[in-house]
Amino acid sequence: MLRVGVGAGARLTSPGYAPMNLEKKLAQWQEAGVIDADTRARIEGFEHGRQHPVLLYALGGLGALTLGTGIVSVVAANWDAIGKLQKLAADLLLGGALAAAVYWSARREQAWLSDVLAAVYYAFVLASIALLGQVYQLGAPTYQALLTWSLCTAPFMLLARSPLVAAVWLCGLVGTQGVSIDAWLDTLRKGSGGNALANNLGATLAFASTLMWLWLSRAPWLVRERPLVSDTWTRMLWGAVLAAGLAAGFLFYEHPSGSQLLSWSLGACGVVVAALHVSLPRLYPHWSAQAYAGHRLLVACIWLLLAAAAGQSHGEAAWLGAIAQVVLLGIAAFSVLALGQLRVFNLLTAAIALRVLVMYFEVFGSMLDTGLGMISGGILTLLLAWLWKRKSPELAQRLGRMGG
Amino acid sequence: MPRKLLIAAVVLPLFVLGLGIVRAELQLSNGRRWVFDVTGYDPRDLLRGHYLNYRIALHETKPLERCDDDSSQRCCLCLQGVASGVPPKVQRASCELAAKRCDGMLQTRYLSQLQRYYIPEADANKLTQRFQDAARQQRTQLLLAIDKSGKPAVAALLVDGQRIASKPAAR
Repeated sequence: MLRVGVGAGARLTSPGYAPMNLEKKLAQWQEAGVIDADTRARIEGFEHGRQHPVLLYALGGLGALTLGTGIVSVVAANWDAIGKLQKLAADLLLGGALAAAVYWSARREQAWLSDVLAAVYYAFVLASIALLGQVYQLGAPTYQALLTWSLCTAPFMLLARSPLVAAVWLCGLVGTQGVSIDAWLDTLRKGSGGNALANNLGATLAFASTLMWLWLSRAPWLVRERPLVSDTWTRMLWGAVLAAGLAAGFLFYEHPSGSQLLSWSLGACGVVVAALHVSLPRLYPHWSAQAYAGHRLLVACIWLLLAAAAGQSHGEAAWLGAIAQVVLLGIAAFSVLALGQLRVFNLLTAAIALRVLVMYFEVFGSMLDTGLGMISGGILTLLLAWLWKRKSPELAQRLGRMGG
Repeated sequence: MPRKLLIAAVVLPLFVLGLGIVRAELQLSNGRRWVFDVTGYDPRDLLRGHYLNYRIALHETKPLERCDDDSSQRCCLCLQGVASGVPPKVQRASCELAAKRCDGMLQTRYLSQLQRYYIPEADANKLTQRFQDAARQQRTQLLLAIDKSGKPAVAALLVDGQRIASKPAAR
């Protein structure tokens, strides 16, 4: 009965909005005789022990990022008042002070302070690499600077605990990966392999790296020691999976042919999808059967969409792409509902309504057609809104019960 | 995190930055200096600030041997010194041949990385104007420090033989 999950489905344990819901639920359960006062007290004690000062972390992360951005801007201004070596010495001294502060706060287990300092240090290292590039007029490719930054900051960024810093760190890591892979694919395109090899490798790497990041976000150490980081990464990565699927829908707006078409990579991506299907229960042991089904269906549909849109040449089929996007949003909405995440479900429902409206503008041409389309689209949207208002909590409860 | 690991984690970025400085200094001090004519214009980089963008005017003469940049063979520019402050005679060749027969060599794969020069934001407009005026009259040069393997480092952007950020000499 008591489904208190962790990870993306952890509505009751998610730090952002858990306390109110949990206390209300516990009171209801005690009143209904489902649990006794001792059990309620034990659950409350356990959950309160897991609470994190979310606002404090958010403000700390925001402040740190602002400070970091400021440092980057100062460097970008390319201040020239002092000489090259003095400038670099000052930079290293400031870096040393930051490193010492991170060490000091981490040793004293001052979680909030070490989080803020780690974020500032993270931005500072990037700024310092840029400064080095300025001072020595280094024209090396961007991916080299980003790789150096990501690799040498990863060990101390493991100290990060707040969702905001975790989100920025993930963006930094994935951005570095994307820029590096793109540079490598560019080299391949210019070489003997040509476009076909680069496109196939690109698609395979995109699927494989998504799986890799999903695995990393659920690494046992991260889940145990950095639950907020794991939770933030999980949410962001599944959001990225959906965004990638929606982007794949736009392939129907193109006319792929020749070397633009994917070949062997569709098989490779299929293997990655199968691996993800198999590994979901290990990654998210507390999810319900419906949540597994929803997420599996989502990933499988994205693969099918990719195969249909980029596996064979076709003419422009905007309507097919638009329908595929609505279907993906629908599956995603079902999946998050099965996890009890009503807010995300509401957001996705709104996205479906918006996509349906946009579809009418895309598909219909004349004023009359567009008008009729918008009337039916409006009715469909209102119906969706009514269903959302009346049925979603009930459906969420039912899905929760089915999940056991 | 254990104490030693924590120290290693926070010191690693400083070590990498220090290594970058030492490497760049060694490249500048050990490389032989060559000047090249340049022509250019001025955009800016959001992350790194203002820079001048230019093209190196190599004035290549007949190649020593055929070398294709897209092939697996490494291509170099064979540099033969002419006089101090004068751009060298430049001929394309494989790096193996250039290493044996030339005064110096520059690997062609680095050429695309040599086309920007960062300038202080405070003086950006003034320096840009100075660079553009000088470039029109072909008075701009790039000073490179090139090591024995043909890897270059930008030592300075010169206008009338002086670093661009320094005060112009009376003409």
